[in-house]
Amino acid sequence: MKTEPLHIAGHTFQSRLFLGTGKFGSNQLMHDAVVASGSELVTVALRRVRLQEQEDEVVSHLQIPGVKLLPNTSGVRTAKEAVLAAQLAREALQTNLLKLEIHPDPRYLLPDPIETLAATEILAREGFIILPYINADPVLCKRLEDAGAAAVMPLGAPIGTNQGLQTRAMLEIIIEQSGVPVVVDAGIGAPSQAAEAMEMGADAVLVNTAIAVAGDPVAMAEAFKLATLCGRMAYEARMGSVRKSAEASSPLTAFLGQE
Amino acid sequence: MNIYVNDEETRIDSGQTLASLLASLSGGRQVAVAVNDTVIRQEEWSDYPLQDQDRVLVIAPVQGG
Repeated sequence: MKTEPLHIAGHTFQSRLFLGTGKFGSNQLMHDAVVASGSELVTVALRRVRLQEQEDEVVSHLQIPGVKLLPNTSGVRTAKEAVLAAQLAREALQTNLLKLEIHPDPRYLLPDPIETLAATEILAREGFIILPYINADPVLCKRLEDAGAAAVMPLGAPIGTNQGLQTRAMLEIIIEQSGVPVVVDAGIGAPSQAAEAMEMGADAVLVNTAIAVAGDPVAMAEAFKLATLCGRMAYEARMGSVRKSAEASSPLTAFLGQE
Repeated sequence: MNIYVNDEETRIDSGQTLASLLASLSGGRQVAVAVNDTVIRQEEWSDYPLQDQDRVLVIAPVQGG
């Protein structure tokens, strides 16, 4: 069963499920979940190397045929820091793809829209393919699109909360208005919520915590794969409209006779 | 002379290049480097002489969402 492929700035994705790689119990589990998810775009973070310690190397576990890496800028607080982080990410991973995230607030990890827009303007001029993580703000999404973002990634709920599409009404406006792909990122906690986003017309979803902290992350990755596909198929099949009053599914002729 | 590697004060010989510093510190990991907030590409490491008080930032990919 195939759905339309997704195109982001020259990159083509058959799977509309993007995966975050945080919080997995081991690199092997992360690898197996990525494979089970069918995802073709997975995020990695960047951290300062702890010089005297041997740390397990993550990238070798993600060298999976058909899977591209999407480095993020998690940990930065300003546009200036984000630009340096992006340049380091490009150098470390040899990719122009970038998940731009600037969230100085440690409690809710909500993205800073002003710094994100400023960083997008700079990084677009430097040739990055920018996927900014932002609040579900339709005006901001248009501004980011105008600034050169290749996609927008509005949140459903704060990172790691598994609360689902709390921002649903705003996501609908973003999807309606956007001239670039819309990837619902953050907060998706259940496969049904991924399907819901896809049915609404989101171009993709990005899921991490819901898979990584599941009792069986590999099985959950496959459940999200199917749900994302299911939601997209429903969207492409064009769902019927919601009505207030009933509309009969069976003929209403009075076959037992009248009079 | 002294430099700062990820904010840690580190004593090195004068004339040491970025390549030799990283060979001794990074343990062969895939890293990217900035000196004084400017990214230095890997092909430039062997010709890049470190200066006293340089701030060297060494990062590597890790799991993240």
